[in-house]
Amino acid sequence: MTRGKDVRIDLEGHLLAKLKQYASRGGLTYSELGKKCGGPWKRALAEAKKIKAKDARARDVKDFVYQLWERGLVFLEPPKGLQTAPRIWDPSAAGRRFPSALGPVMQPTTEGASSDLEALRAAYDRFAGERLSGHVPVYKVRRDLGWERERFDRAVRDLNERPDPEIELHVGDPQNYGDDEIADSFERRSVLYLLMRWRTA
Amino acid sequence: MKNRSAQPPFNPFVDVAVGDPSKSREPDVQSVNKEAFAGLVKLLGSLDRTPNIAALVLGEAGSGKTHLIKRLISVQGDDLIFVYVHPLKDHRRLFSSLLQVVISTLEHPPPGGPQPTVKTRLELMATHVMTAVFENYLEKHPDDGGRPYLETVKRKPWKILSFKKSPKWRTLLTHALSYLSLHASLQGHTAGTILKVLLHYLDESKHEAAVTYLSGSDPDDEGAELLGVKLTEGDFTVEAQEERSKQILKTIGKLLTFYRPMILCFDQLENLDNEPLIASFGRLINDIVNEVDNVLPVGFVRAETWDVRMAPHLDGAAKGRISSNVFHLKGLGLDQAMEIVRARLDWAYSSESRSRPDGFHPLQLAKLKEQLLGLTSPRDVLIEANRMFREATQEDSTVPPPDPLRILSDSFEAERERLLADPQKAPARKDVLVAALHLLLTNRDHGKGYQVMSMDAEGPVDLTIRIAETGCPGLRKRP
Repeated sequence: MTRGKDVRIDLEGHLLAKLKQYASRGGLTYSELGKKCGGPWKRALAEAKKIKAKDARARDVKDFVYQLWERGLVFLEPPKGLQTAPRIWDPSAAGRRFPSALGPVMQPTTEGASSDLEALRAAYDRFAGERLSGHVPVYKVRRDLGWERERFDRAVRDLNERPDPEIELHVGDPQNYGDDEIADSFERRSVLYLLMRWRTA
Repeated sequence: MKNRSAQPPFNPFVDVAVGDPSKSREPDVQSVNKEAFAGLVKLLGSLDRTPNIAALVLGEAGSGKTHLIKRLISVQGDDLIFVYVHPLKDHRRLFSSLLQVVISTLEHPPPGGPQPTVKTRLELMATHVMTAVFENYLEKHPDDGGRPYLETVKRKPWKILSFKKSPKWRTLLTHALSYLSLHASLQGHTAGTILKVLLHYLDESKHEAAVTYLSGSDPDDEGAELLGVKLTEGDFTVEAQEERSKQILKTIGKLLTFYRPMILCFDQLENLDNEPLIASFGRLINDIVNEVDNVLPVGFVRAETWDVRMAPHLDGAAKGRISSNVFHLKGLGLDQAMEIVRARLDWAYSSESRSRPDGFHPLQLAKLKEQLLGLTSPRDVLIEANRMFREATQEDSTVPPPDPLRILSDSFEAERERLLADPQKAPARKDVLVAALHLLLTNRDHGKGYQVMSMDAEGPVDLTIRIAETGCPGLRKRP
């Protein structure tokens, strides 16, 4: 979370909230976004950037948006026709219009209408109902989907390895699992994860 | 060549578990588990309106359960009484064991330390009770000369102890029993006796006897005489002792109306490791919710343990009670993970006057972000940060890693020394001692001339051990 020194504004949260608020209008240009965020936000950004100007300049807003884009928190629509600047979108709003705004796991599968994300969520939900905590053994979801190992692992990684993860992975207690169940769980950097939980559950 | 001069004086990522939440020094990151925290605070705020509630906090290992307790303790401070309950061990004596922990907590000074006239929370609680009694007495006797003192005593209840040397004190003690029997529904011989003993606690010469009685045990003859109570006349059965402990807890709950609510934090419930213990724990919570006022029991347990091992062994009523207010600990986002790392580094540098190159020094920001992506548990984040810190500072790169058994043994010794030196240490809980003895005798080397045949709890006896000779002369064969 980035904050101005004197003006206590959550720079990132405020900008993302504005993008969500104006999502139905389509993306915003840098200039429109700066105006929607308002004067106090620009002053706070100037403070955070330690620049002498009272308000953040256009290039400071661009730098800030670039950092958010790097972390996957905003989507940039390239300029088209006579436009010269990209438009900045809230990623989920962009996803409804541009399939490329979605990671591969969220794109429609070739096999049917639903995406891997939807299929994974549906399989998870089938077991989550049995557990108050929502912590579901990974092997159950993997076996239920019956995908190739790499496809399942990629989908889980894609939904977990993002700044605001959809899926939590937990190590759990190996004593509760048989060898074959452990083998059908998930491993990353030599750490075994036995449980998964939908973070927004 | 690394710039060692700007390195923090210690590795702030070594401790990945909180330990004792009232003593841990690691920084707290407020955004972590803020929803669960806000929910618990809201629940605590409603305790006076809906007194019969319980709560359950679910989260996997390292998700911040004990840290949440630490935050509750530090934020709520003196507005609540926090009782931290380590896992109970003896399924037959849950009320007795719990009462021991409650009284031991109340025997500690209030937050902010002891005051000149009041040293413990139990004293504070008794002075709050007596203040209410005093106010009621003045309503009944409007011409009494004590009226000018009422406002002062209401502001600072411990000032009522200045009456102890005046004849009015005895009058107030007599009035207390009649007033409280009506106001706080403290009717019946048992409740009256417990109340009387609590008020005796205000006399320093009777402290020990009163604490013994309030902990559910019988004081010796001299103590019983001091308190004016009859001993239990041989009724030492476990059931009788449990019932006595329950009555004492109920009375304390009612008297908390005059003081402040109590939260019972049952941490690490995954250590309830057998079915009878889990079932008894369910009954304990059910009884507390149904019968003990002003007390909020909150269980903290690993998510999967609750789903797989605990919930199936609880009866429907108990399960419903415990899980009536469930708080899930939410996994971290990348920003929160970074915040945890930053807070730990700030803590490590807090005593350092030299400036550091950036907030994440000596870790590389870009690499840190990459490594933390996808780690949603605070403990996983700390483990990864520890690894990176050691790499960045070349810690232990030339020496082999220490022997884990040696670390365990050294930590045990250090903890043992710390506990023995603690002036406010709680007395050892009986159920824990019995469990430890059980563990020791079943695991020790049997080449000592005898063998443990069986260990059971029988009747009022906590542990009966049957041993048999294995060839060593001088040991008798009989149990």
